[in-house]
Amino acid sequence: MGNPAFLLCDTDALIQIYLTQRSDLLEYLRRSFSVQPAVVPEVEIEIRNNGQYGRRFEPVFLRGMQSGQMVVLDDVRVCTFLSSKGIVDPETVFYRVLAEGNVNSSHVQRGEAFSHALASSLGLPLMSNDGDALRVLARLNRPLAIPTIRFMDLVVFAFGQGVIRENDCQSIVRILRGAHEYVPRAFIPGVGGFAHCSQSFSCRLAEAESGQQITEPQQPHHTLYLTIP
Amino acid sequence: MLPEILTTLNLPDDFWADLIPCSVSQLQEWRTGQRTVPYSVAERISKAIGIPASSVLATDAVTPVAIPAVWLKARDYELTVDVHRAIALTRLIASGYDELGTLLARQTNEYSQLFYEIRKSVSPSDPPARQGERAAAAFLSFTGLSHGATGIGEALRPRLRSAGVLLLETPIDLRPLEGFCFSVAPGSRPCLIVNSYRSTWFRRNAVLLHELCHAIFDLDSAGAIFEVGPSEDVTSESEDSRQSSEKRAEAFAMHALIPIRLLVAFENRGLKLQGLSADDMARLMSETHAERSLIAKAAEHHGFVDSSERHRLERLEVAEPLKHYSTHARNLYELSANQVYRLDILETSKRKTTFPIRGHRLPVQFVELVLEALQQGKISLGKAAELLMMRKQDLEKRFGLAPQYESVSVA
Repeated sequence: MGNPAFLLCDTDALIQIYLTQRSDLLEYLRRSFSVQPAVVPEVEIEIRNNGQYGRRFEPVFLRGMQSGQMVVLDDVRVCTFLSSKGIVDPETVFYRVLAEGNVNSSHVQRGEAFSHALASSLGLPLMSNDGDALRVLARLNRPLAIPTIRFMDLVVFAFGQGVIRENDCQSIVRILRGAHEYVPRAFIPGVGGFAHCSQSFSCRLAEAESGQQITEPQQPHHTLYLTIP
Repeated sequence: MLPEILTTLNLPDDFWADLIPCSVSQLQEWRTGQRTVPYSVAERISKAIGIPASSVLATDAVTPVAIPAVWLKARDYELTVDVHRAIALTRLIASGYDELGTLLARQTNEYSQLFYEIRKSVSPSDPPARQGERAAAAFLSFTGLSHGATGIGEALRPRLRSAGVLLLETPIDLRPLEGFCFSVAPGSRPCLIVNSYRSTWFRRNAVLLHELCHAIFDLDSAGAIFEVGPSEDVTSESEDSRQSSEKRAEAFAMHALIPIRLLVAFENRGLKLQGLSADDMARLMSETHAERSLIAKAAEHHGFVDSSERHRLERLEVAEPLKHYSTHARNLYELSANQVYRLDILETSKRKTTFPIRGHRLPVQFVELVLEALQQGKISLGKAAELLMMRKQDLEKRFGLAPQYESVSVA
């Protein structure tokens, strides 16, 4: 099992990345694991004009697009990707994704609706913090992104990889809490620092050790194992 | 076809950016063809404007786009952007109602049968005023509102909403526009919008019934009707036909709101309309739920007073005594706590949209439907916020909902 070509990002997770100014973590995934961070067009819209943050993140998002750090999986890119996988009629698959997304959007916001639809159809992981949307879609037996990781999974993964220091991680938690953003319970300040907290956190992103037998994730909360190419 | 649609409707970029919602720079990317319009954006425009999503996405400039009449009329009347926002908002609410109706298995189109029965009760050869009177009697009878010695103002709104009519009372910054009506699609749910900007509840009852009459008789052919007063009417519609439908609607509103039995019941209590004092006029207003001038007009029509007395009645100073007789004449802060059905309604902002269309007031039933769907787990908190056109954080704060984030184990 190879690394996924794309890691889809939902609006709330991407906002946390921009709030904490940790786009470098996405860059790390791209450079070290050849996992390209991506968004569906609906998430691009929600990021560039956000209900809570207005247009604050539009410049950084556009810079990310220009540098190739972030791509938008629009019709052309999805069809190209499908063709590269040997799909004969990529347009049909794409229209099916749109139909799935449309059904989802009766229940959850458009960004999540189309992110889950595309990720589940293409077998891609999704980074999203919205457990509420996930629960609603799961209850309705809608196809979900497998796995669905959170921003803190990426932080803990990067911490384990030695990409960021403990102080940086604590700063991330502080910024998120200061902005009333979602932080998993394990990181609510208690005894010990980030390293201590991360031990009780079930991280959904890990590097596969050489020779390790990896089982493909079957559920949204399963772990995504990455290998260095 | 998005660029053509934007050009035809000639609305500022801010309007579209608020509506979609997106940044103005992204709108420009779509307008100039630099980027493809996403499907979900086409769907959103389709819901708000009424143009099929396929037309928004089409790149074939030869195919003409059918813009719904309501937009073309609003453009021709040179109505303000706020009016256009109200139209878009109403369409989005109508679409939200349909979505929620499907999710909660609660759809109603009772209005269709009701309107048909009312039309059937009227003879097209009668003069317009007579048609309005007969239609009002049929309306009161079919809706069960024809009994009792008090007005229908309080029962009217829930009754219409339960029949599937979308009714919105919201402030629009164009005072001459008292209201308008349109249907989301030909033959579909009628939408009645009443401007609450500097108007009284008593006046709005008449405006609402006036628009209802248009919805019953004129909407299928006209597509949309705006009440902006004759001086601002610049449409090419036949003036005769317009005047007939206006006369019918005026008669309908008067007879539905003030049927003769209400005036007779008032006089039977020893209070005479001839020589009525300001205090008694206030009492009559509180009983009929009608404004002073409409009562005076009805009194003259039914022969209780002559025209000079009608003019005197129209000029009575009723503002202060009316506050004594009717809670509808008081503002929310002049009410005591035990006069408010739900104390949380004292915070009127709870029903106002915050994003993307700011400051409009949503119908209580719509808010309740959204919260019910949320409670039943049919929609997420984010979707509820989207339907109520407010930020997720505002929704959490206003309705005391805790953020639903953690424990994503969906095994």
